[in-house]
Amino acid sequence: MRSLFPRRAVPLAAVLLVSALLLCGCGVAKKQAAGPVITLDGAAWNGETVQPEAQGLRVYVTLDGEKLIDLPFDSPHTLTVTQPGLGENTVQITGEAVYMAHADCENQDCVQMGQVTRDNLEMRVMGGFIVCLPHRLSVEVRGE
Amino acid sequence: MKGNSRRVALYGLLVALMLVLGLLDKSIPITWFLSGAIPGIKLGLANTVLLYAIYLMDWKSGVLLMAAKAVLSGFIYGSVTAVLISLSGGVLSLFVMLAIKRNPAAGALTVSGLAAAAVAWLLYRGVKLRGDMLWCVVLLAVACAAGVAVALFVRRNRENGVVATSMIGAVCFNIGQTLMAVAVMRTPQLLYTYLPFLVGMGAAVGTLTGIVARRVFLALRAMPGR
Repeated sequence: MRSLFPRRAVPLAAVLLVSALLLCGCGVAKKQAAGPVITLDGAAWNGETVQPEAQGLRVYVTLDGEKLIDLPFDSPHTLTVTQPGLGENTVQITGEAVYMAHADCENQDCVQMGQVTRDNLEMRVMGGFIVCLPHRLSVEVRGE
Repeated sequence: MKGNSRRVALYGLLVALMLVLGLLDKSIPITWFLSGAIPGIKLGLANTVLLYAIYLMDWKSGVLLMAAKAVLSGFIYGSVTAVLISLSGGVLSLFVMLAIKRNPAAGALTVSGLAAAAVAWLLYRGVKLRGDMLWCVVLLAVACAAGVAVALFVRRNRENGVVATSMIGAVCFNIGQTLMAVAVMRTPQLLYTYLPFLVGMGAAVGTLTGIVARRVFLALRAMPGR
């Protein structure tokens, strides 16, 4: 056993294997990306920036590291992102808080992650983030 | 029983035990003191089986059990992403545990160092020490102290290294898991506050499961211990 797998080789093997796995992860993200359908307040989103004049915090919705849409934090909106063959997420912006209202994944982590408000923004463990790992969707509240 | 069939039965038993403990992990909420659920945090009781493999079997069975657990639990509860995240954490933690097994005091001190570095990082980032972030810093301070205490216990031969190995294993599992999550999500900003919290939580949880594993080993009379 010793000759097959000397102790010094262990950290090296770990680093190599983990980086190979990380590359796999990036590959999976690329491969699975299908065109998402975005519904804003019950109607199909027309691709225009919503209230670009609004000051202060904005809510950025990101898929695989690419921004899908950003909305002002202060006005109420309901946003649904549907990824064909993968699933659906509904983000609720109430004006005071942002939360994941619904997700059709197994673990429901994002739904249970709670609200992001002005007050808890800087003391949440996840910062301004709400993430849905199975759908690789992230919602971030931050200033411009 | 012949040696081969005995080994097959033992592996089957251990994999089944890991899957059941993994299910138990999911049903124990250990972040109740926070305002919202944090993904990727669990008690990690399944890790006790891995510790058993590392200490009482050999590295090959450890690799086999870890891979089987990651792939099977991924198929049962989740998706490809879940398998990748679990594998990434599992590989990193298993290899670090194998490497640190012969010098567990160094492992415990590494955990302390990581926790101290995480506190320094959070303070440098200027987080508000209120609510969840206060808990996070307290947790990290406790983890730092626990690492030094465990290292002292090991040095004075009052502990045979299982707890220290478990601590570093849990911390590395969380680090590997987070790195994979960030690679899949492409959101490196998550590392700022999420990773330090996971380091603290890993140290705390690793200590608990390490103590459990040590009690189990002693009860099995499988290991000369104290």
